[in-house]
Amino acid sequence: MTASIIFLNVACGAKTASSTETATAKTEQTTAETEKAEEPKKEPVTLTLICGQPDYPQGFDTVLEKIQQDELITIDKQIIDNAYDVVRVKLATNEVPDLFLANVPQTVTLFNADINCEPLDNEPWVSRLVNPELLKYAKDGHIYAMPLTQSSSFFGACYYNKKVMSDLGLGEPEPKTFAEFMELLEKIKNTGNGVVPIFMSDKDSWTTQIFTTLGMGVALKDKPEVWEQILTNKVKTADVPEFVDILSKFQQIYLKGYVNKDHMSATFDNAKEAVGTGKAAMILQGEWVVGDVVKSYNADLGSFIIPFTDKPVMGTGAYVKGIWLPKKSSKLAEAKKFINCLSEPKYMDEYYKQYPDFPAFKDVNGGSVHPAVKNLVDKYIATGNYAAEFNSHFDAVNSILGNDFWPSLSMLIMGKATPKSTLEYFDKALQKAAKDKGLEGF
Amino acid sequence: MENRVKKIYPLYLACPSLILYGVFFILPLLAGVALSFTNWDITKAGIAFTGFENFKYLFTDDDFLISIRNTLIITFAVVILRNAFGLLLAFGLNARLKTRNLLRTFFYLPAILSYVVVGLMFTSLFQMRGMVNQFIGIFGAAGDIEWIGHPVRALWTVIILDVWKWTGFFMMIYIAGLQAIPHEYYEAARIDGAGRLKQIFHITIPMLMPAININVTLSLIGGLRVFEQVMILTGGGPGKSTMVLNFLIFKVFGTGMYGRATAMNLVLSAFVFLLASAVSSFFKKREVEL
Repeated sequence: MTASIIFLNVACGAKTASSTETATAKTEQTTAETEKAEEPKKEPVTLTLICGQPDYPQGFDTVLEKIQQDELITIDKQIIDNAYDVVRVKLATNEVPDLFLANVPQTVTLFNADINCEPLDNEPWVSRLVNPELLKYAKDGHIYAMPLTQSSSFFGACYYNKKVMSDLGLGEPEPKTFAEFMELLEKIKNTGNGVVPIFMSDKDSWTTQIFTTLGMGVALKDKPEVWEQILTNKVKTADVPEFVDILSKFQQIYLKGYVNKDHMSATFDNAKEAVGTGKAAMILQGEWVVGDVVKSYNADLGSFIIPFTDKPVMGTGAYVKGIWLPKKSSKLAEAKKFINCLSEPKYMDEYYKQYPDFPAFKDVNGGSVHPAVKNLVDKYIATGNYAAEFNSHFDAVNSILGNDFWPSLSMLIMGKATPKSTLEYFDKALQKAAKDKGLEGF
Repeated sequence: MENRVKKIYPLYLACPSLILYGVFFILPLLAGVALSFTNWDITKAGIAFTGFENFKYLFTDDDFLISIRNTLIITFAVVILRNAFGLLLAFGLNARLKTRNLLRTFFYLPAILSYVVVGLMFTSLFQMRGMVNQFIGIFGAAGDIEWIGHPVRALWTVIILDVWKWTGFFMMIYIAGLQAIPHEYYEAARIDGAGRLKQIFHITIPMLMPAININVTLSLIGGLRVFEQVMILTGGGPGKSTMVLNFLIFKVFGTGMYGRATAMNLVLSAFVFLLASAVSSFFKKREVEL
């Protein structure tokens, strides 16, 4: 009898428990449905994004597809040459895109971002940034763009083909002085069986200037006051002996025959091919070249910095690629929603699975960065042994870099100009541009 | 009344085109002229009238003077070479050859190719390891000549590209001109004992003046407005050795200084107008009526 009663109680209890569970499950399901019903309905929206051809990150389409599926936000990508010029015209004529991609904070003055673009200091992703100080515009402290893929960028170094170095018996070189660097180039030239010591692609003048922008930035690491003097016309660059020294060193690399004979007509693609296939021992570039060369040529790369001043200091950029939001966009709210989504780990992780890098956000997994790049970041960025490149000090008049200074380097490397005359040419261009822009002191 | 309608009727029909022409050509032209006297800069607020400041600046700016020099060198070279080769080809392909139609097509083809295609082709051909150097190497000469990367040879590479692309076009105009010359003149000259050279100088060239006029004027305008060839092949480099006026204008527009760039454009337009008018007038006076 007792057993029956117990059995009945258990059965009833079980039924009750089951009923309760069912009731609970039903309640939860009803709650979820209610929540879903209460969730604002997502309206499909299309946002225009203007971006330069070399700036569009590879593999980014995967992330955009995911966002489109999840949030119904479609990005109408307009990838064009001279994107910066097109954006400036559009900002001036009020026919603004919803988003555009450009270096931040380097191009704030170029786009008059303090007038034309939305400050993003109060967006939710700002608190998750690895390096918020890098993004702030020096004059007003605002952040005008969301960093896209990196916490900092442009780790300027010699990226070398490990197999070539190993075959030449040079192991994994790491010159400590500039003289040692030149000796390394000499050794490769003499014993390399035709291997080019350092491949230069001077048809693309932005690659030519890498040596000078890094070197001149590093040269004044311990004299930051000189930049202010140059930018207020108290000192000319031609009168800075450190700059003359760097340009002289640069010229020597060419005059001593350490570069490829066809350097004046070689392109950046030729350079990647040369180091990837072992025709050249190394190229002087930024970290963006590593992924391309490794993927395209299956080459193993190592890296070392050029000790411009015989010190272990790496030249680096003071910018990252970022997404900017013009104030006059008719879809500003949607554009902010898009970049907020984009910053989330579930999307950013997807990007870094394909292209490991140093993420801009603390909670994003950047994947395994290539050792050649990690080596530089650990040695120089993490320890503070770096200096901002020369170019980063001339944001207000940066048109003179591409239009005047970089082309003038062609004359220097062909031996048709001296370091001092090259800097005098730069000073003249700086005077003109600074006067046009109404900079103080000019 | 009927006469009045007849007079006004053509004007009515021309109105739509005139309106479109006025809105899309005349108005922007006048606006451009006005803006060239201002300090319009898209990086700054406001536009102010500055008189001749932009023009004074231009004629003291080294880059502007270098670009004028390079433009004139290219213009001079292409006018002579396009017309010389065009005329020679026209003489050759006006003869009774079985393959003349095929050959005319081949020589005309480059004119319809895009500058981007031609530029990429020439970049490849004139690389140090390109076909041109390999061809030169066959004859024992040093086969490592730097073409696009040399300050002087880069300019000539631009000229070669231009001449290669357009000679066929000019050849066709000369062929049309040659075919319009009545045979009777040549027969009469032969009867009078004139040799081939005398026929060319006293019959062909004078009768070909309208075609020469068109071709020289077109190549002059094309030379002064050179842009795509430089943009694709050299980018104005090395240094500023192939910087031409149109390319400089493009660069200055890129800096946002629209007032100054418009002033440069006005100077270029004035150059083109004056030179083209002078040359056209020169040849017009020498045209012989049939």
